Amino acid sequence: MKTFADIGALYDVAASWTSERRLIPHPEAEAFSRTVNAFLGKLGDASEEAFWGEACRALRRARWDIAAIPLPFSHEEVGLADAVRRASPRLKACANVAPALSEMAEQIDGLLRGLAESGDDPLGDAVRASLEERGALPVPSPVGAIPDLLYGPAGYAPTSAPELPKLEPPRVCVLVLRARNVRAVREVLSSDGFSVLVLDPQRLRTEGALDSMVAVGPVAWYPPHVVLSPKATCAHFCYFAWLRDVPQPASLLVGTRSSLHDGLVPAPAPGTWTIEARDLVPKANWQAILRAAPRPGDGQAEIVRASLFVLAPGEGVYLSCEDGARAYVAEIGSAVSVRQEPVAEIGPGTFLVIRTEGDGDYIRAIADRLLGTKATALRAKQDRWSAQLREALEVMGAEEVVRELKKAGATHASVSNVRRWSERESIRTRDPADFFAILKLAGREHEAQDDWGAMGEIHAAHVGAGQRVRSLLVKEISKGDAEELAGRGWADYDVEEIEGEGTLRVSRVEARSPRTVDVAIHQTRRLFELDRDLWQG
Amino acid sequence: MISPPPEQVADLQTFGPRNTWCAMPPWAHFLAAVGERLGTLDPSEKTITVGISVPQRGYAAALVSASLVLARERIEPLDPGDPAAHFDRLCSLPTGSAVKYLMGKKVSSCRVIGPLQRDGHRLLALQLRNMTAYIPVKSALKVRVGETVAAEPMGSKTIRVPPLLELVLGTTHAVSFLTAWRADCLVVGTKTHLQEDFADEIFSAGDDAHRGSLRDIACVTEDPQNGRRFRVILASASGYPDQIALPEPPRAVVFDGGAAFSRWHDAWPDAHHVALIDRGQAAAEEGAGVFSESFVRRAADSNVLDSLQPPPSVEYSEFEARR
Repeated sequence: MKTFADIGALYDVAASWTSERRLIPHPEAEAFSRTVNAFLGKLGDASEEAFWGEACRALRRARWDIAAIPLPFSHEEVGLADAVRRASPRLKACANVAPALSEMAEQIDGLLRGLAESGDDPLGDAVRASLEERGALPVPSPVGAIPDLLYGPAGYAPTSAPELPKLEPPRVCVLVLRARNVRAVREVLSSDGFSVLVLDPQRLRTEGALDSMVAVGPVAWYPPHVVLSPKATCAHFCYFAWLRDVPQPASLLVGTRSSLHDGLVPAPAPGTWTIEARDLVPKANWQAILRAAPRPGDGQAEIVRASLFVLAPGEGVYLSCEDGARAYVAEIGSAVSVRQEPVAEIGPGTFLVIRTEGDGDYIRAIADRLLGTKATALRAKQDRWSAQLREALEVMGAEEVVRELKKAGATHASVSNVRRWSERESIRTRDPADFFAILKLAGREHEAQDDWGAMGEIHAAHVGAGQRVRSLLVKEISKGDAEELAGRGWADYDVEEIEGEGTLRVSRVEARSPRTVDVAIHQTRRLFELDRDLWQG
Repeated sequence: MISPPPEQVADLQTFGPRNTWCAMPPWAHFLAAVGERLGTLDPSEKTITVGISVPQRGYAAALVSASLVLARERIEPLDPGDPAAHFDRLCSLPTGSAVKYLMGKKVSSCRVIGPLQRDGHRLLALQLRNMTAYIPVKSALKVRVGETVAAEPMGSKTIRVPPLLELVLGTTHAVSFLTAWRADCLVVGTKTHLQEDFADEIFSAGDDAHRGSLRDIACVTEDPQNGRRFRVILASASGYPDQIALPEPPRAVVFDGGAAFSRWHDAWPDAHHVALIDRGQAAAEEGAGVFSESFVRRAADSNVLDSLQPPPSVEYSEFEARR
């Protein structure tokens, strides 16, 4: 929890922050970016077709990674060797399929190979220079003069000298665009002696006030909160000189009566060749992703409206986004917590908790174990009342069902509530008057009291199962390396006490489909593999 | 330094990071001032929607709602003002009606026996658990009509008056304030965060003796059906509006976060709305989008907050909502 003073510090930062831009030249990287841009432009729609598809995706991704990852070009994390492997054969074959572009293809191939073998690290160098300017000095190890001078050597405790005010080291962070690069960037900076926070935009949200932030990439690549809710008194944006940044809106509300402090300095005049920074951002190919994802094949299955989520390990999962649908999410910060969140509010950066095998509804499975031998009979009662309500909806229509339920004493009957109550997962209504009205409508008024009690048992078991999973999972995540999870984007947890229910995978959401699709209910909450290329550009 | 008793939340001091008491920072002062303004506006005349975007929404809902409660209490106290008129009202109650009798910080739940004359003086007889009390006209304001949702059994208890509330309202008014309920404000958001903000004991007039939390002023409940003294009701934004059994429509609704506003903004059209949009949250743009849609449909512009000067870290917009 942030204290009143912590929050006040963030207001102070927002009221006075400043920024700087560090534009970085690199002729080879610029030539590669420029030539790839021209090549893709010449290919047009053909760049998506079978022959060029994979090669062009690799080139787009290489163009992005070169400009977004502050590591040497030859570093494995930048992945240029992989791009060479995937793009080079097609570029070499260009003379046979598109002779007019062969010279350009050859040039790209040469530039890509050269960069893949180059130890140049222009973004990393700019980050280090900015860090040094902001006082985040490299710390010579194991014992060095600078930290000793500034912060006192370890174990040093003067006895006679008057106590000097303790000098706090500046709080500085490096902001990278993708969480999956956090670990490698931190390792490289650490090996250079920089002990700084390395964060992705999602982690930045929960951070307190900082002295400085060095962000890799132009402002246009970051979500709005990076500048609308600034965390650092001074922000450096380091990016290649040929990227054209666009101004960000300095206000959020329509009809605003006050103006927010805008600490963002305008982008400098562009160089001879520039490209709109936003055009480089990898876009998820949702059409291809949805084509690759499982779709309903069983005509009898109940269909629900769902969103498709792309997760960090390169998997997809459908989550029902019917009104009121929720999913378990983990918050990985200084403290770990697990809670339910409406699916409607889950987006990139959130850590989802999904079972890796079996029925995705692990809470139901654990609740059934808690219920023991009574589970079957109780579940039959649960299925019966909700099935009867679904049948009534089908036969009478929602409006009529609402009218009848109100007549029967329901207090919260509305079309949306009745639809929600009728869902297969629904255990009972919140208010007994609504439940009794449903049973009255089903002609089973005499069983209402008994069924309400039975549903109470299921409800209690679900609450118990949810609490158990939450506490066990929090314990497991806390026992492990939460930083590692945050950096890598996913981790599996075998929670001993819920053994037999499958491993729980905590994965970061990388993308969410912009539109919903209809899928069979049994296909929701089940992980499936996705081709990384489809969502990484 | 101890200041004169504060009259509004914006006058309070906060316990600072260096263990000293300091004046409310400008952002908190602005948020409290918004609550103050809305607390004095009757929503039956017109309903105002205020959108406020902040870099971090912690404490914002607590400041707005506590300030709103205090402002309304000042202009429209639940305590009846005229002893004679109130005495007449008490005398008209049927025998057996549940009332409360305040004696200092002690509150007795009792029943009305009826009016009588003694030595030329009008008195009201009340049945306490073990005795009968005869209340003269001048003490009528110490008798409160049973405003609880359910009549309590007869008995007495001492009311714990939080020192901060006592400082702000004075002892008599504070006791009276704590024995009645009213839905001044509904706060919709993440309940655990809101509870922490309301419970943080960092407010006073500059002295440790009256240190307290905004919960002391706002009288917060999560269960208004069973709560007997509240002004602010907390609700989870992930629930459903119809799942909150409110004893009366709220005067104002504070939406703590863009998600809360986009999900619940239609639920209480007859109340003032305050949409607190945290610019650091993913739901900020969605909340701002919903605010824009409401702004386009507005009945009129509004200038309720015109004289307030927010700090440069805060922006706000306001309009009169279409009913």
